[in-house]
Amino acid sequence: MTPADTTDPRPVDVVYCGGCNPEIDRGAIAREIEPAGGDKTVLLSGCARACASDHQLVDETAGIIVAGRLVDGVPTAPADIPAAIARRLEE
Amino acid sequence: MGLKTPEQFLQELTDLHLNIYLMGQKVDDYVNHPIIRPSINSMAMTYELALQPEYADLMTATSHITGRTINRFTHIHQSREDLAKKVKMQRLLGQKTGSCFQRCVGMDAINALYSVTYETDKARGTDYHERFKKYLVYLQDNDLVADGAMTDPKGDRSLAPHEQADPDVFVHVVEKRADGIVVRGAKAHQTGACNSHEVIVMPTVAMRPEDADFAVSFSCPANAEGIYYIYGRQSCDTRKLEDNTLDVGNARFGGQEALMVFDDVFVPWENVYLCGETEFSGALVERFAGFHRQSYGGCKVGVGDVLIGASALAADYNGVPKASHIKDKLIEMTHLNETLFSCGLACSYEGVEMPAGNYQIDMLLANVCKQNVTRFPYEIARLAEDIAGGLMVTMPAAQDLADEKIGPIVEKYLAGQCDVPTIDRMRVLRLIENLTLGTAAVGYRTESMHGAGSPQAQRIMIARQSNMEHKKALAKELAGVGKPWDPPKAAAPGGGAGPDDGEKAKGDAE
Repeated sequence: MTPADTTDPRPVDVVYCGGCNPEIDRGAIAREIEPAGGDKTVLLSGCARACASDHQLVDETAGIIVAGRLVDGVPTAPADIPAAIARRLEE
Repeated sequence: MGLKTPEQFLQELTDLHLNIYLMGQKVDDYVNHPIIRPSINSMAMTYELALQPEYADLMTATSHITGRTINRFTHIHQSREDLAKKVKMQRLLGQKTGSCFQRCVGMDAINALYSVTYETDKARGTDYHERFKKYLVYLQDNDLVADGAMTDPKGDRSLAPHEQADPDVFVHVVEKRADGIVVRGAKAHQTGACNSHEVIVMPTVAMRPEDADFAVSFSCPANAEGIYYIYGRQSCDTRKLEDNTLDVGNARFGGQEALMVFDDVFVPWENVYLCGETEFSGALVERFAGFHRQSYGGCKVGVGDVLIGASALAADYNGVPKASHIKDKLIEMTHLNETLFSCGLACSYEGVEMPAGNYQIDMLLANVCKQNVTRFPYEIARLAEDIAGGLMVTMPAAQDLADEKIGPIVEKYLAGQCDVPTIDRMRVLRLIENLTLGTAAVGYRTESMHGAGSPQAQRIMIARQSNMEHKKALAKELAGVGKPWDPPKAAAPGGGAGPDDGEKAKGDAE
């Protein structure tokens, strides 16, 4: 084990939309993915209007974009969204 | 080649030598045919306004591919501001023509295909998107009109395309060659088809794998060998054959629809954008329909502006502009019209950037927009007829007004507000008749109902996107559904918690 491994990973940065029309439970998703850590930001919008990512569905430079049932533009069932985010965090 | 002039458009349309049939006869000089020409003038207005500096902000855009200035009708929306400018441009053109100006279908087709070809390529490894972009540059650089052809005749609506007794009721591939495909079938209600340089064909419904031959999208010249057009009749259209400008209501402008027939038309592969990838047929239909439902929040509003203005003039000429019920009706018409505009703008400003890089409207709000368009123009038209009065449909003909003996009688008895010539009063009433019952009612009324999909099509989309579970959760939270119940304490002797006591308690609190 290296010294770096002894510290908890930095929680994932999550940017939320305002939450006026959520199709998914943003808080629950954030709680599930935050401990994973990583350098990427998760732009977490409740619906496909994608307010957290300035209305973009895909932007690799900005981070991982969740817009309702879309993860980086790919239709994803709500229950599968944390796993889909985790896969992208590992990429 | 930059932006074209209306004159260039007219010459090119003439040179296409389209195969057009009208009332059982082939029309060779369609550009000068009195029934067809007003619709050509409407299309020409999309060229004319683009050249005027005072309208350039709405009418032109910068191509994201070439960086050149193009007509906005050939533009791929690059921002939410672009989406909003599209709606405002359509309102402007509705105002200038008082009719359907027909160029929106091609714009909505290219914007739908732009993202769908991109996503098809990602999933299937095809090269449709690059093909389509080359074609797009051709449209933009040559300032061409493209007809967006989606609606098949559809035959028995209970059957899928491959189950139809006559497969030709859906456009389909009848032959695949090394150099391209051969297609057969027809597209119905084709707005502006006889005004177009090009045709962009898309499937009309979501499809299953068995429908692979019908999941086809392509472009071809409007005069490709094997294509012909049967021009659609419109209410009161033969008034245009009479030699007068009064009784038609709007002598300069109009709309057009046609039945477009593909009689074994060859399309080279470079112009094919979907061929058998049935899983993308539904997305193409939904996106084109979504863009077109947004469009109606602009174009119908512009025509509505004309009808509201005509109604206000009719009230002036009838001498009743200050009557409170007239003012209230004009307010109601304006309220309805601006509500439609609000919907068109709302779905634009809530648009998103697609993976392909283009911007798409908010689908829920676009469908709400169109659902309102299936209703509000009818109410606006009803109020216009109310204000205009019965004379709108009982007036003598222009020939009577022109007659040496009867004319002065018509002049005398149809006079209204004394400062206004009778001919002007008649002109305004004929314009209202044109918009509510005549040739323009095709665009303002029935097209508002069925164009871009009939009302039920929008309701299906609204149901899909209503986020009902969220609404239920909100109600559950406020009502306390699922939480432990704390029953009221048993009433103390001499008191209680009944309604009367509740009222008493309230009073006490006060």
